[in-house]
Amino acid sequence: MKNEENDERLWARIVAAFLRPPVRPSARETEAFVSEFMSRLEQPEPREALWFSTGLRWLVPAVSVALAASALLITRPDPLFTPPGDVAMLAEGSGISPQTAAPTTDDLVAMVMER
Amino acid sequence: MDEAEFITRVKAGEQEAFADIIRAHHAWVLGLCAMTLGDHSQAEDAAQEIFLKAYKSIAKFRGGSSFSTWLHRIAANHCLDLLRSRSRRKTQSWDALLEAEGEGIHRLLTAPPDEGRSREDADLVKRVLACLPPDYQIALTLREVQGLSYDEIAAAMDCSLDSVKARLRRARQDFVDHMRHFLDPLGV
Repeated sequence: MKNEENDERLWARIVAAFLRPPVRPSARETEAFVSEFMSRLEQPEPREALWFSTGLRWLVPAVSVALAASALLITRPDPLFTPPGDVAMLAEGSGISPQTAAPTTDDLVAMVMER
Repeated sequence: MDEAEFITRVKAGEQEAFADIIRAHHAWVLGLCAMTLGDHSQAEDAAQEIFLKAYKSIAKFRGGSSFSTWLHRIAANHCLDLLRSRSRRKTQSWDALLEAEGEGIHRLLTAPPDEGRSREDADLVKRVLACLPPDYQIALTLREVQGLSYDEIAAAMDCSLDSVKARLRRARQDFVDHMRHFLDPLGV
């Protein structure tokens, strides 16, 4: 009970010290604020590009995704890659299947050499 | 002329009618910005932005709540956004501030309530308030400085009544726990 009373008193001091209402603006300050606001309203707004403001803003993420997908397709190794005939024969002779992971020619040669 | 009529005129495209709406609400909007943002010029800019947002979206105001409650919601959201972006940049912990500014905080807590304030003390008040999470700062300002009811704060902060009560209770406890150390020796 005593603690609660102490906290109440402490809170009253905190409010007086840190949550004091700021000084109200004078009528002149309010008028200056209003005229600044009204002059801001009269200024033309910065215009967005027409396509951006007319509901075509979805194009930005769509084009980004398309570009990212294209980049992935170009850089990904072709799963249907077949190595040149001599490399394939070499690989087959060593018991390595070149079709499983689409390795590059260099990889295949390295694997054969290892064996 | 009552406020509803000014609002109707603004909706009809009469810009000038909005000036009277600003006159009626300028003091508390600026007060909320000043209390939460601290710096006077930042508070002025924020107040301009708040009124601009209100002007641009006044067509959406249907009168379901009072205009003041609607404007409080815009103002509270705007200040909350600014406080959140600010607290991402720099935050000083309670402990660091209390250690560095203990003497100043003690002076503020023990000064008579109506005593004038030096620039240094005013700055310290801002730094103390900045230790609180942004939503606590807004809730405390709306309650303790602007005198809003719990219901009005819930409407302004777009949350439930229970959430408002919980935030205020935690904010108050947080403050009291950190300040207790300064007032215990005074027998408070």
